[in-house]
Amino acid sequence: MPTAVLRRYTPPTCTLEVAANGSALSRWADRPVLTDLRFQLSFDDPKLPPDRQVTVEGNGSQLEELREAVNQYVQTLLGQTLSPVSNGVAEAKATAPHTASAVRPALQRNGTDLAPASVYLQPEGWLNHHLCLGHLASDESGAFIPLSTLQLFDLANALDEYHAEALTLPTVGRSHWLKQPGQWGKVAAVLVLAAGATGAIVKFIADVSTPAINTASADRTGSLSDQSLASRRISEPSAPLPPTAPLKLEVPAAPPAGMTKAPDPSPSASPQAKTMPNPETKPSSPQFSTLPPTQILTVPPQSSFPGTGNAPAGAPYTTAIPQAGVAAAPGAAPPQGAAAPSIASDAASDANAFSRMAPENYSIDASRVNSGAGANGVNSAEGNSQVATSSTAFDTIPQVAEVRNYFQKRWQPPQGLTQTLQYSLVLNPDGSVQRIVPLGAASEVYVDRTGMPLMGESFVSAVEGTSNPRIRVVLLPDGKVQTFLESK
Amino acid sequence: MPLPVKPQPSRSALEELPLAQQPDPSQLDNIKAQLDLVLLALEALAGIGSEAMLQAAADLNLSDVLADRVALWRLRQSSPLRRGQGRKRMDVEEARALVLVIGYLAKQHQELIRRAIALLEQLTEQHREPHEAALLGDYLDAFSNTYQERMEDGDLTPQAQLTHLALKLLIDLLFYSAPNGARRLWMALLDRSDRANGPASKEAL
Repeated sequence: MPTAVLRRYTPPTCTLEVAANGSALSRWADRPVLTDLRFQLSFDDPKLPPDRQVTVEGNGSQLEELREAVNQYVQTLLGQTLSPVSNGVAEAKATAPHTASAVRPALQRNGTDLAPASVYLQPEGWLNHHLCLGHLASDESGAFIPLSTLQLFDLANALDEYHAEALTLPTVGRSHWLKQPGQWGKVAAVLVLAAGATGAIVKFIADVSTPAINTASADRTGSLSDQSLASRRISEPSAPLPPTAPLKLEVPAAPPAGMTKAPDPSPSASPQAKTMPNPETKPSSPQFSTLPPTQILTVPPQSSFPGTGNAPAGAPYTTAIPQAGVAAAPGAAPPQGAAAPSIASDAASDANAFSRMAPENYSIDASRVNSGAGANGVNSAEGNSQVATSSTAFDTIPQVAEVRNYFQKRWQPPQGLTQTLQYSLVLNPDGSVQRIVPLGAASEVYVDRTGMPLMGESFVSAVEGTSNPRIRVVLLPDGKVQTFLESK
Repeated sequence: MPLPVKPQPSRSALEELPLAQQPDPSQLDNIKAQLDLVLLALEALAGIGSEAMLQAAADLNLSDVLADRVALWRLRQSSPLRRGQGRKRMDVEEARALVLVIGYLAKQHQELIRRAIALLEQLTEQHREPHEAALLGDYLDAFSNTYQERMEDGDLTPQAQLTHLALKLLIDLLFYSAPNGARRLWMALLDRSDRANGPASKEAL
């Protein structure tokens, strides 16, 4: 299933949201290639009263039409003579309506007639403009939308920014979830969440796991109470849960099975993810989110993620959730002792990763973990020490720090980058890179700006043992670099 | 010792400014006049002087085209509207360089330009004069004074006309401050100069 891509452009007076499927062709292009595109354009200038904040929706070709119309109009505005024929501002205003006819013929310059339902703009005075919606008009929007000069400017910029980022294929059909009624509501819910700071995202994850955790009794055996304490210590009160969140917690039935039987709970995760956006897989960027974890466009192509018995590799942020859910799964057989501590440590390391992501908003630290362990009366020394070990550092293997140092020397955020870029790097035992997995469309776009090592190139020191550790690299737009171990 | 390699202007920046054919002399005259006026607007709004313009050229690796104040002065003096203009020359590469510099400077001052436009919109909606806002009033005064000082017909141009010109340029600057602002300016220059016929004069702008 192709990756779904959400983009959001937010100049001050409007918001352009674009949802599309990422085509497999993206791997051959230098930027994401999209299909089945839908857009939602909200004229949400805070200075407008709410009843004038209208929204327009459409598909990819309509978005292109809008962009063309706006571009041509702006260029026509700019190309108007600098000097007025007559004197004074008042008379310039009087001449403005003449330019309306100057604009529409401009659209017909190439000789084709303007279709009656097409989108165009015309001036209204010299500082205002009407965006005539044509077939994009709805009951909500009316036939035209009045725009101030600043609103026109912001609209043009949002459209240009979108265009610069994506190649769009002609829409040939719609994928199932894009057709679902009320889809935008869910998308909006996700994006509302995404608009928060990283800490809010982490809090959200904590809150999503909280309802399940509360059912975990404290008198479970040591390994399970590791689960509950791993989750409890990250539970924070009241971040608003989106309506889709509780559905996610029904998934837990799978992971325990995943641990005791064949791995790879992703088949059960994916139907959920397919029908709704999965907030947990979102990197800590308000600008965009990447949907379903089962397949992410990679460099180079690969068929599936290795099932190492942990959470689906493509959905690392869900690592904490399903395993937290283990504690809640009623009647679930206690996981084998061998498996449990490593799960606890993974959950801990991932949760610690969350805390590292948003240090300013989030106060998880090792001391809280340990005090939490004490308070819960964890009676498994093994579990306790596991938690303590992974909580004091997630440089669990030296390569994590080496990777961080490597990128810290090289990472120079490109001008204007606002998204966080994330990559999963799989290492060969000799310390070279076996595989680079960009997570999310922006990461694919910017991969050659990150100083990413070439595959096979020696990179960090040789790994103890013969494993292929998988390390997450997080490159933040402010220049910071974070790394953690995803799996050994 | 090997000679230092001159940094090339960003290839993509120059490629952004396409040219189907060489402009004829009257088109070039028109372009020179327009560029001088846009720079005048930037000066009047943001106090941008020749130092800032040259620094922008250096930042954009355009110093071989816009090397120093003398070169800059020559290019600005080449405007046919200027007093005592002695037919200074400007070639297409120099015009392109000035376009990139303008885009760069407008981008740097986007917040200020945006604020000025917001004030203009607000006052216009309230049917008040733009001069009532200090930012706009100062801009309009500076523009008018400098225009009158520098331009051949400066003393003959009615104040209201200068005000209108200044405000039109302010709106243009907003669009030039976008990421693709230099390209928009370039296309506008070519559009206007295409339409201008006959001797370069203010009316033909």
